Amino acid sequence: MAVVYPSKEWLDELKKRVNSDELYKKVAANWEGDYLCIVEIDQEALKEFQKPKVLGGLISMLAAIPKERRAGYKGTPTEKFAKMLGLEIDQDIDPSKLNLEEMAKKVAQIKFEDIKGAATYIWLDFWHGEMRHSEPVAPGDVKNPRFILSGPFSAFKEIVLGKVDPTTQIMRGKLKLKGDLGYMMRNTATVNRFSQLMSSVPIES
Amino acid sequence: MWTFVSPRFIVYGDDALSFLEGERASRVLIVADESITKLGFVDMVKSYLKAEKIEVFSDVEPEPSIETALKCTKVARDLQPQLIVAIGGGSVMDVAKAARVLMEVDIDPIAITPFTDLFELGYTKKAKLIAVPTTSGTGADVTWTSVLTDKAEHRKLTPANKEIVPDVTILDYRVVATMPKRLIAGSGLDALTHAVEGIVSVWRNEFSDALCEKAIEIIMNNLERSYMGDAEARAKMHIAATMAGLGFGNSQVGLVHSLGHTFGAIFKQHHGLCVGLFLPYVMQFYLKSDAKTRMDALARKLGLRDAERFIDKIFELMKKVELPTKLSEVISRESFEKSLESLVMNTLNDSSLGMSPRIPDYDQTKRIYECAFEGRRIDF
Repeated sequence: MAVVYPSKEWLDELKKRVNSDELYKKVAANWEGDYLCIVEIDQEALKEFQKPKVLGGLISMLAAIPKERRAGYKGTPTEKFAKMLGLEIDQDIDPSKLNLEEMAKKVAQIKFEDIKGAATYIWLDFWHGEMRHSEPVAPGDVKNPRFILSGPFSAFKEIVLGKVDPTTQIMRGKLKLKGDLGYMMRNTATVNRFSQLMSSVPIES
Repeated sequence: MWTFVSPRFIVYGDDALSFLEGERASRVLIVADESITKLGFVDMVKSYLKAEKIEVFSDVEPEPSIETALKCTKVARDLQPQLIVAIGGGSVMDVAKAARVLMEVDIDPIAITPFTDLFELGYTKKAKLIAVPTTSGTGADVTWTSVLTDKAEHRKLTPANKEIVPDVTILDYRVVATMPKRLIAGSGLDALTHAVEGIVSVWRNEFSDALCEKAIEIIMNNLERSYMGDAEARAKMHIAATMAGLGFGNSQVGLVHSLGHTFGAIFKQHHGLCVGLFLPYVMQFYLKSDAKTRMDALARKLGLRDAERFIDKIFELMKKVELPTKLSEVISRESFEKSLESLVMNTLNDSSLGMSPRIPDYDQTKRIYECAFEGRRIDF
């Protein structure tokens, strides 16, 4: 079943696929490490968020973070973005009660320059062939991730759609990778298989 | 954004080494191996240099280990050379490339990755690096990768970074005039593999295509003649190897190298022989991918009907230069079967694999090995 990207549903589906993949279990049997993905909201994201379903997906990720932990977003352009949509970052968010049609119209009024620097944080944590966490987090939630992958929404989306692999995006300068790079080079089978699984999730257009 | 990386100068000809006369460094480190030293090539290099202090590190073994790169690094740290001259085959150049960085930056060699900001870690390119290849195959004189063996894990690792490419490569035909026949054949197949892999890589681009295409044409027309002792063909092969290096260095190799690296590390075989062995089988595997169109087009440029004929032609060429065409000519069935699981897992973990136009899964990788062992055509 196709899911919306980005969304909590997408993260759950990704976890399901990784944890049911025999090849991943085999090649990642010794892998120990997590990624913090920082997905920066760019012009393309603003266009995408004018679609109520996609905006709903984004809000579902925000809502999945317990409200007390969302404090990490306080004072950031992401909070400003949420406010422009009528959301208080540290209050209860129930996506089912929101008028996404109206909110999507508000997105159309937002200028990129006004929210420049806004980003969503995703934590992907793997341990010995298993994906332990695939969840949205707030800035500062994840201490010392083994890898930090950051870049604009459009660059991540190309990977999710299977148009290009993460290594190529980094080589093109579209994404930045920091962390224990030597470890990654020793475990390329794990990285490659995860990339394949990530792009195998059908995305609702 | 994409980048084309190459040395600043490519110097070539019968007297190309005389380029070294213009170097002003007062401290020079020459990296070589024992046989190159015995052949007198290190003395030849020395004769062109005016440096006050020249040290030679000649302990590079074939398929060099991480430990050797670290030993060379120690010599470099003590000497603090302004110039490193790497004269030899790919092994020598791979060690020199790593040592050039590690003499300044204290990191695990495998942490030299395409994503590493070496300057942030303190790298200042203190030493200029000049490569003088003495074989015609590796392309290591112009690429930004280094292949080192992890002896503990019996696998090859590829430190890579655009900042490790040599500054100059010198293609002096004199140093390849006496190359042993087996090396001509093995390194020639290595060069051909680079060019073919470079042209089907998912990172291929107009620059790499142009260089790889021309390299393939020269190699297909000159390898056998070079093998038979034709000096002109030998010189052309020397240029073609570097040309292929420039090509694949900017589009990367793929599955053939993943298989070849793995096989070579476990069975300690010459790199050129290993990749050459797998090349036609991988091309058969690619017949069921987008790469077929590119291989067909390439075949037509060579005057052949299609990719299948091109593959046949490569098998023929391998026989003409007396190279094995299946793994069973190199290792026993018993040792093959004993190592098969490691062969498959290490292949899947090889960093070149990601750039292949068709990436095999676990079972397909196993079947590719089995076909290459028995000399069976790959039809899956």
